[in-house]
Amino acid sequence: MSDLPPEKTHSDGAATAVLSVTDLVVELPLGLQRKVHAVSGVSFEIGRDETLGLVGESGCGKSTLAKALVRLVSPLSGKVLLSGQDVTRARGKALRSLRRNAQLIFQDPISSLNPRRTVLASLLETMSIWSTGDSDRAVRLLEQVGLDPSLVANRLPTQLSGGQCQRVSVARALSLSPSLLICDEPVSALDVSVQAQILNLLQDIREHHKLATLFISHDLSVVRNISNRIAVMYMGKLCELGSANEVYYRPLHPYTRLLLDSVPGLRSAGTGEPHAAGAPSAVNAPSAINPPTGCRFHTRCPFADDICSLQAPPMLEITPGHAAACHHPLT
Amino acid sequence: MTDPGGEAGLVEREGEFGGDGGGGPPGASPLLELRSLETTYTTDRGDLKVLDGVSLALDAGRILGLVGESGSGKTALLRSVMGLFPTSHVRMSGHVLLDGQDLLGLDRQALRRLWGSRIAMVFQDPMSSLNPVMRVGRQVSEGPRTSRHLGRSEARELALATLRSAGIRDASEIYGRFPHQLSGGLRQRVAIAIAIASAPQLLLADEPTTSLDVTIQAQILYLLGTLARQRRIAVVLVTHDLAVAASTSDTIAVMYAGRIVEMGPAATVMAVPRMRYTQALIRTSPQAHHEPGARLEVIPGRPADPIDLAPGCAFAPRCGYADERCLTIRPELEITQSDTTHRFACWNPSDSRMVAPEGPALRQRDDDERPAT
Ligand SMILES: Nc1ncnc2c1ncn2[C@@H]1O[C@H](COP(=O)(O)OP(=O)(O)OP(=O)(O)O)[C@@H](O)[C@H]1O
Ligand SMILES: Nc1ncnc2c1ncn2[C@@H]1O[C@H](COP(=O)(O)OP(=O)(O)OP(=O)(O)O)[C@@H](O)[C@H]1O
Ligand SMILES: [Mg+2]
Ligand SMILES: [Mg+2]
Repeated sequence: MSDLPPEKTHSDGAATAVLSVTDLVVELPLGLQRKVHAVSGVSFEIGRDETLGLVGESGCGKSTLAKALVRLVSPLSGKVLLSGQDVTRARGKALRSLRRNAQLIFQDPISSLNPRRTVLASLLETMSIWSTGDSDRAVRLLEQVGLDPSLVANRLPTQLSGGQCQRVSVARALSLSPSLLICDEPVSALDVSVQAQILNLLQDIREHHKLATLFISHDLSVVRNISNRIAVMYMGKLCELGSANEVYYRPLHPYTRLLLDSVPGLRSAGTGEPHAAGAPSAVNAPSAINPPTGCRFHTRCPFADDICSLQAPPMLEITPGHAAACHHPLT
Repeated sequence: MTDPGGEAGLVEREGEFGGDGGGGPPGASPLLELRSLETTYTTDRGDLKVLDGVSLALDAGRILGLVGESGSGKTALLRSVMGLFPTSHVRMSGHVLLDGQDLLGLDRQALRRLWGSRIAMVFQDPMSSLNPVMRVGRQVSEGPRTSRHLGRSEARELALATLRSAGIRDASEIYGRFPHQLSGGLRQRVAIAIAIASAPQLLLADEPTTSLDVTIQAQILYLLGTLARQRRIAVVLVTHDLAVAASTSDTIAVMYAGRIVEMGPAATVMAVPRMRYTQALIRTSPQAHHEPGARLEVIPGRPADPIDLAPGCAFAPRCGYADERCLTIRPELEITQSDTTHRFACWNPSDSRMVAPEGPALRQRDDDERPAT
C-alpha cells in the first residue's frame, strides 16, 4: 500500500487491508450537463476483522460511495482495491467474483428483494449462483437473523413486514460468506431488541470469519457500538476518521461536533416539545451540484474564516490514529 | 388523487357495519376511533390474524406514538385505517371511525376520496409509494391541485414550501428530479411532503424518519408537532425508536403480536412501564454509553407466531415473570386504579412505584428487580 497518501490514517493491520480506497470520485449526471458531486476524493481502508462506521447527513454521498465500491455506479476516478485486486478495472468474470466477495445490503431492502421469489428461493438462488446452494444453511441463516423459517421461508417479500425484509437482506448477504460486507442502514427499521440481535450477529461473524465491514448508519449510538473506527462524511468528502471512542468523545471536526450535539435523548419524554435542533435554522443551502469552495462545510461552520472558503483542508492526522480535514480543528 | 403507490387490492370487508353507531356525543368524539379492530391476512398456509382486537381513540391535534416489535402489526394497523393493502387476501372486522363515520363500510371509490384529502399515509418503504416516472414536484403538487383547486403556479409554490418544511433545503432543485435521483433520506422526505401537502385531518406516518440523520429527523418531528398543534392534525407515528416516540407523542401505544399491550401518556409509559414487554423494550434500548463492541441486550426467545398463538399472554413464553395464569388466560388492556389514562395488559406488572431510570442509566437485565412474590 505504498502508494497511499502519507497523511492517511491506517487501520491496525494496514498491510492486510481488505478494502483500500484511494481518491475515489463519483459524479452523477442530472441531464443538461449538470451533475451531482456525490463523492469527491475519498480515501480510507478497512482491515480484516474491522468494522468502519460511516456517518453523515442525508444526501452526503454514503450510498453512492457504497455502490461505487461494488461498481454499481462507476467512479470517475480513484482506486478501489479489494483484497489487493482492482475493482475499478475488473471486467466480466473477475468483476463477478469481486462482487461475490463484497456484499452490499441495500438501504431499501423491500425494493431490493425480488418481489416474485419467496424468501427461501431468493436465498437459494443467491447461493446457488455460486454453487453452494443448501437449504439447511439458508434455514440456519434465517434463524440467525431472528426469523422463524417455518413462518417466513415460503413468503413473498410483500408478505413480510419492513423489518422482516431488512433481515432477509442481511441473511442473503451473509449467505455468500463475503470478505467485505457493506451495510447501508441495515437496522434502521428494526426495533431495539431485533436490532441488537443483528448487531450481535454481525460482531460474531466479524470475529469468526475475519470479515471487514463498512457500516453506514445515521444512528450514532449504533455506529459507535458496532464500529472499531468511524468515518464522518460531509458533502462527498470525509471530514474526520478515527477510532470510535476518539471520534465520539474528542471530535476534531466542527461538523462531527454538530452531529453529536443533535442526538436526541430519552430525557425529553412526553414534553410534547420538539427537540431544540428541530427548529429550522436559517442555513445557507449548500448544494452538491455547486459545492462550496474551500472547505465544503464553511457555509455552516461557526469557526469559518477566510482560509476556509478559499482552501480545501487536507485530511491530516492530528492525534495518533485520528485525522480530520479542518483548518481549525477542535481540541 | 392516484393510489399512493402501486398498492393493489382493496379489503374484502366483512361484518357489523354501523352497529352501535358513530361514537359519543358530537364534538366530543375523537377524530379517529378504532373499536375491536381485527385484520386477518389469508395465506395458502392458513390465516394470519395480524390485528387481534385493537381499540384506541385519537383526538384532533394529538400525536399517538405506536411502537412494538418488528412484525407485531404496526403497519397492518395503519393500512387497516386506510383500507389499503398490497394484497386482496385481507379480511377486516370491527370499526374504524373517522369523525364518527365508519370507514369499514365504505367502498373503494369513497375510500379513494378520503385518501390524500382527509387521511394520508407515509409508507414505510418510500420508494414503493413514489411514482418512478413522475418528477417529484408534480407528485407533491398534484394532490393540492385537485383537492384545493389550486392553479399551476400556486400549487408549485405550495409544493416548494411543503418540500422545504419537510426538511429539504434545496427544494427547487429537488422539485425537478425523479425519485431514483434522490438519496434514501430525500425520498423519505418527499414522501412526507406528498402526504402533508393536501392538509389531511389524519396523518399516518410509518417509520418516517428511519433513514434520516438526527438533525433532519428533529426537523421532521418538529414539523409533526407543529402540524398537530397549529393545524389540529391527528398523527399516528409508527417508530421503532423509543426516544422518538417519547419526545414527539402525547400518547404511546405498545404493540405485541397484533394487540396493544400498553397505552398511556408518553411520559408515564416511558417512566413507569408496567407491562413486561414494554419494560424489556425500554431496557434494551441501545445507549450511547455502550462501549464499542459491547454485546447488546436482547429480549430472549422468538417473536410470537401469529398463526399459532398460545391462549394466554402472547409475550408469556419469553417473559421472566410469567406464571400459570399468563400461559393460559389472556390479560386484557385495563386501566390502573391510580391513573385512568394508563392501560396495560399484564398479570404480573412491574411495580408502579418503580420509576425506570432515565436515559442512559437504563439497567441491565440481571440487576433488574425480581418479580413480586
Ligand atoms: N441517480 C442519481 N442521479 C443524480 N443524483 C443522485 C442520484 N442518486 C443520488 N443522487 C444525489 O447524490 C447525492 C448523494 O446521494 P446518496 O444516496 O449517496 O446519499 P446518502 O448519503 O446515502 O443519503 P441518505 O442518508 O439520505 O441515504 C444526493 O444529493 C442525491 O440526491
Ligand atoms: N401480505 C401479507 N400476507 C401475509 N402476512 C403478512 C402480509 N403482510 C404482512 N404480513 C405479516 O403480518 C405481520 C404484521 O406485519 P406488519 O407489517 O404490520 O408488522 P410491523 O409491526 O409493521 O413490523 P415492522 O416493524 O418490521 O415493519 C407480520 O408477521 C408479517 O409477516
Ligand atoms: Mg443512502
Ligand atoms: Mg412495518
